[in-house]
Order: sequence, then C-alpha cells, then structure tokens
Amino acid sequence: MTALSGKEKESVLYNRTLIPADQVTVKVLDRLPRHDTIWDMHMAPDDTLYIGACVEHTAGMSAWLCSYRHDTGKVEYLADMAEVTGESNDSGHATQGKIHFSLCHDNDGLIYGATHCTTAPKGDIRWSPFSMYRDPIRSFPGSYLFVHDPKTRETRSLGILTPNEGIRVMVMDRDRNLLHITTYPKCHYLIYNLQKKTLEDLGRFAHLHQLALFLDRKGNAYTTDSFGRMLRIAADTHRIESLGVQLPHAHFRSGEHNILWQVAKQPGREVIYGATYVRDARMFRYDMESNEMTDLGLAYGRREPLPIPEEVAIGGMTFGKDGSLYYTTAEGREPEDLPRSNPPRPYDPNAPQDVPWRRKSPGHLIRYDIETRGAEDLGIFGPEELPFNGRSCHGTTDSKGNLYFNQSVSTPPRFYIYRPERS
Amino acid sequence: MAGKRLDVWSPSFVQEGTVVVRELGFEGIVKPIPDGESAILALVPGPDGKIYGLTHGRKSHLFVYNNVAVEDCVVPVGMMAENVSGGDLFCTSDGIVYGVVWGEPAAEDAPLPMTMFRYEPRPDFVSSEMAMIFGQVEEIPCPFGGRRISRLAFDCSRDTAYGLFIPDNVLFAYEPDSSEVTEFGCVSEGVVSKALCVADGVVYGAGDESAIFRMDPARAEIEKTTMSLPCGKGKWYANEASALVYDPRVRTIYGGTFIDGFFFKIELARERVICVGRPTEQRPIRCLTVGRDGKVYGISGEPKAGICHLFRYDPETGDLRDLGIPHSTIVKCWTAHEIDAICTSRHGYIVMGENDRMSHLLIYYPPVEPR
Repeated sequence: MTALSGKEKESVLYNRTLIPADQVTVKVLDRLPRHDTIWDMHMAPDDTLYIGACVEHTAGMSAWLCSYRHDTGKVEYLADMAEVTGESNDSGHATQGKIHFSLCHDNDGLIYGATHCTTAPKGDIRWSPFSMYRDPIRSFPGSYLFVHDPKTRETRSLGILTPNEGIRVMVMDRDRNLLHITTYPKCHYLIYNLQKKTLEDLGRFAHLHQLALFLDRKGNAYTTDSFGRMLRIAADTHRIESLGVQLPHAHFRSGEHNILWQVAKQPGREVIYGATYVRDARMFRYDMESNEMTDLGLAYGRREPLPIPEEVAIGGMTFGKDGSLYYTTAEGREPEDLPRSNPPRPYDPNAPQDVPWRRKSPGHLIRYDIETRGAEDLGIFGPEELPFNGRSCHGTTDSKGNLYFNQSVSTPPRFYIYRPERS
Repeated sequence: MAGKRLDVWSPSFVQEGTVVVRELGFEGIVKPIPDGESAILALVPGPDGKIYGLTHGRKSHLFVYNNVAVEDCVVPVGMMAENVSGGDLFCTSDGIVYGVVWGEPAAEDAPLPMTMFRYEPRPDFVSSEMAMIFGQVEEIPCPFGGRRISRLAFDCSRDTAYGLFIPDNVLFAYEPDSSEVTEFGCVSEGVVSKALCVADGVVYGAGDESAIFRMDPARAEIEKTTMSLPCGKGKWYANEASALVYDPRVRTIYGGTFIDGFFFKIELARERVICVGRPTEQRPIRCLTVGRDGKVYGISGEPKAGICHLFRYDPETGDLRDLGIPHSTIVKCWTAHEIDAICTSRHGYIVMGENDRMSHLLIYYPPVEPR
C-alpha cells in the first residue's frame, strides 16, 4: 500500500467549498471595536443568546454582557462589567475584562455570570496571574457574581465570590440552586448555594487548566484533572472522587494537559459527547451512568495526529434539532506549511489577530451522526469576506434549530449562525 | 500569542536552580497517598539521609522520601489516624521517628483526640525490583493527656522534644526513651509564639509583647532576654514568630513573623536581633531551613489567600531574594500554592512539602555557583 502524502489526504477528505451564503450569518459586535474575544455564549429558554464580550489583549478594559435575538437580528449591549462591579478600568488593578465559561440561567429566567481575570491593568502591557496575585496595586480584586434580569434589563453585582481569583467555569444546578465553580489560577472547586449564600471550597483538583464541567440529573458534577482523568463531585457529600477513566489521547501521550474542553449533552440521555483540549483534540462519548468512555477519534479527516502537535481544535460542539452533533474544526497544517520561525513580536494591541499562516487552515463545520459515527464536512464556514478561523469554544442551538458558534479570538468579536435548512 | 504569555508566566516561577516534583508514592509501583489525605504537616531528615514526612486530612500518613539511594522515591509507610488536623514529627539520633497527630475534639471541653506513634526504619530499604520492607509504625501511649500542643522543637544532643501546652503557654520537654513529660511553667501570659527553637541545647521562644525568652534545661528556668521580635510599629501585642531555625556554625537563629512577614536573625553571641526585611509582600514566613551552603531558605505566603514563594537569604552578602513560586515539569507539570514544611537533605537539596488537598514533595536543587 502506498501512503498518501499529507496534501493528497487533505484534498481527498476536506470539503473545500464554502457553505452556501443563505445558510450562514455572521454577527460582529461592532460597538466594541477593541474587544477581542468571546469565551462564552448562553442560549436562554426564550431564544435570546447571551454573549460575554471580552478583552484579552488590551489593557485597562472591561467585559460586556451582550445579547442577540435571531428573529430581530439585533445585538444589544446590556452591561459594562466595570459599571456593574464598580471596579473602574483605571483602578490600577487587573480589570474585570472577561466573562469566561460562566453564563447560565435559573428557573426564573434570570441570567447569571461571573467576571474573570487576565486583562492587564491600564497602562501595563501584560499581567501575570501568579506574580501579581497578592500585589496590593496590580492584583485582580476577584471574580464578581452578577445577575441580569431580562424583564427589567437590569444587571447587578452579587459581590466578589473569589478574592484575587478568576472564575473559569460556572455551571448552574437549577434543581438545587447551586453554582458549581472552578477557579483560576489556583484551580479550586467551589460550590455556591444561591439560596443560603454560602460558598464551599472543596479544594484543589488539578494543576492549572480546567475548561469545562457538566452535571447529571442527580446533581453530580463531572470534570477532569490535569491528566484528563474523570472526576465526579458527589451531589450528596460534595466530595471529589476520581472515577478511574481517562479522556482518550494519542498513544504517545500520557494524558497530561489533555483536559475536558467541549461538552454537549445528548438530549434525553445521561451521555456526553465531548472533545479534549486543542492539541491533537479527540472526540469522545462518555456515559455518566456506566462510567464508560469511548474514543471517537480525531476531529475530521485524519486517523493519526499530526507529527508536530498543533491546534486542530474541535470547538462549538452542540446538538442540532435533527439529533446530529455539530462542531467546528480547522484543517491543520502539514510540517511543510508550518512557519519556519516564530520570532517574538513587540506587543501591539492593535495588531490583527489573524496571522497569515493561519489563513492556510480554514475553519470547517462538521455534522456528526452519533448512530453511524459518520462525519460530514459541510464545507468552509463563513462568508468569503469574513471567514471563520476554525477556533470556536462555544456552540449552542435555539429552539428553531439555528446553530450559533463564536469565533474565540477576533477584533471586534464575532459569532456565526448556521441554518441547517436552506431558505 | 504563546510567546508573549510565556514571558508573563515563567518569570513568576523559581528559575535560579531547579525544582522537581514527586508524588507521595513510588511512581508506577506504589499507589500515592490519596488527595485529601496528602497535605504535609512536617518533614524531618533522619540520620541515614532519608526524609520522613507526616500528612493530615481525612487520614494521616507517614511517608519516607529516599533521596540518597538510587531509588529517588517516596513511599508511604503507614496510616496514623483519621480526621487529623494537626501534628508533628521528630527523629532521634538513632534514627527512630516519633510523631503525634490530633483532630478536633467532639465538644469544646472534651480532650483532644491524639495519637502518638513510633517508627523504627528497617535497614534494608526499597528497590523497585525487590520486596519493600519498611518495618512497622506502632502506636504508643500519648503522654500529653489530650492537651493541645504547639509545634515541637527537637534537640538531637539530648534526644528531647520541647513544646508548649496551649492555651496555658506551659513549656514542656518530652523524652521519647522514657516517655516522660517535664513541665517548666508558663513562659508568658497573652500572645505567645507557637514556634520554638533549640540552640546549643537552650530552648528559645517569644512571649507576650514579642519578648524573646530562653530556657536552659540544665537549670530548668525560663529567663526573659532583652531581645524582642521585630514588628511593624504598634503591632507588638499581636506579634508572633511563625518559624525559627538555628545555624550552629554562626550561632544564629533565623526567624520569621506572622503579622508582618518579616525575616530576622538573632545573633546569640551579641544578643541582638536584626530585622532583615520582607522577602515578598505576603505574610507570614511559613517555614525555614538552613542549607548546607549556609544560606537560609524559606517560604513566604498567605495561607489559602496567597501563593507561596521560595526565598533565600545569604548571610555573607545580606541578599534577601524572592526566588519565585515553586513550579516544575519534572515529573509532571505542577505549581505549589501552599507549603508549610521544609528541610535540607544530606546533600544540600531543599525539600518542600505541600499543604494542600493535592500535595507533593518539591525538591529544590540550588544552582551551581561559578568560581
């Protein structure tokens, strides 16, 4: 058998046509021209999409809570986190510049979220979450819990939950009025009781990175440690226990840094479809009842990881109304396409976020049939003039079946909408 | 953006010298001490060069770190008690390890649940290819009668441990050979430092108003000195020494304070205290050790609220330097946040014990100085 070269494999496997324009909409948050990231989007039951517009690369700015309704096509700019928290952007501290994976809603339709760190203080060009942790001037004051009432359109702060610490992930257990929280950079697991207003610190559970958690219907929570080993936080005892199964990874890896990244709950089942973090990202199926982990392989088009690990992320994972699983990915590059050197550049907040070599790796939208385990490349995603770069961290679906995918990094921030049915 | 990020992160970590991390188990051979039971309370070097450690949490474990043989490994050797919140460890001159652990009493006036144990290491030690024979940890009667005690200071020359009964501030000596406890009376009313130090056979501590006292066991008398701990102006009434360590080569006690996080030295020959400064903006100084190079290594950091830094004091130059946060990628990527135990190994490596839900040993190899 003759092995195909990388180029041949690509030409055979990838659908290089653009997804038809009438199925794709791109929305740009153009009133926030210097914001550069969206980490979280949350679909409320009334089909309002809530978006956290963040600032990763420009100092002294604050995150905004925005919303979008597809029936009106209108983006609304609801709240500036500097105003909500009372932490002004020129305080000297690291600013309330991000809303990470924390947007959620309760049974009354109130939207909850938390602010997050790493945006530098005004006037600084960078910020270290470690060195500045307890710095009296440049520290991050802490993550604020906030609540937005869609009826009154008021967003208010409920105070700092985690002094000096960011909230990276927050998921609501609506039946028990609990918020499950993981922090950064100290990587602690917390449970906040909204009714009693009590915060319980269950301790450290991993090294640094943690990007997702999910709940079963009994209220048990699941996440992974630094080696992608599944952890369960028992609903009754609030104890962290290791479940003895690990996320899939390439045979030459130990699983270190291969953590939970994408999570999509199969409707009506205690089953999660997910993906591991961006290097050699693999898909998996995890059955919460039987504690069974199934490796579903790489994102699309390859059976083996690239020889030089790179970011071929699986992102935006969400179930469509048709029962299929949708996600985004990028083609990835063969070694000959990789840049020969990556010289350090002086920091420039106005520099374009798209680097030229990344354009060689367009973003695709994939439809995955969970019954047949077959994946279909729907094509290159996004209009030609504003293409999707293949890096989404959040996907969600509205009641009409429209699919929403953020582009993690872009200035100004933007997200894409895909309509499965052609108009 | 990756390059820019590294520029922000890596300078926070220890870069002068090398840090490696060890799980509290023999990698691939012995199951590590579980999370929630691995928080390290104390580390003591034995005369054979091995280092013994004591953990707390849902269960308390004794472990041994063999840093001197070809097997560079940690092996848990026994479980001490359940629901342990405090304890300490010492090792006698003939290599026998003694420890005491305690939990919280069931009621306010109930005696403290305490367990005392003794561990005699077997001379034949572990090999990854052979059976591991360690000897047994045996429980022995606890001589403290359910009274809460401070950290212990051990005098190898007399094989005697010294401590304070709390809250009475009564200084005692415990001789493991005879299991005898001798009380020397109350050192001071009010705020008394829980850290003690033995220097040339004399016990040093700090009582109310930061006043330094000493007790010479030969005379069995507590004597107030003219020296006092350094502290921020007006804070003396709440000041305590958080760590004390003695270097007999220069007859100097090095110490740290809780309230300000000051690092200081007590020159015994000249009976004077010198406040060296604050190694970081955090407080307190949590633990100290004197290296084989005569430099002092310590940990500064606010328990739970901060992130620990390793610092170094060079008595020759007077340089007090923040070395950074202990972080390693050997054998796995790990950054320590909470450290409350430190000691110097026979070969001069600095061994740090994490005090967190997931705890490890971190071994710091100081850099080789150019000639």
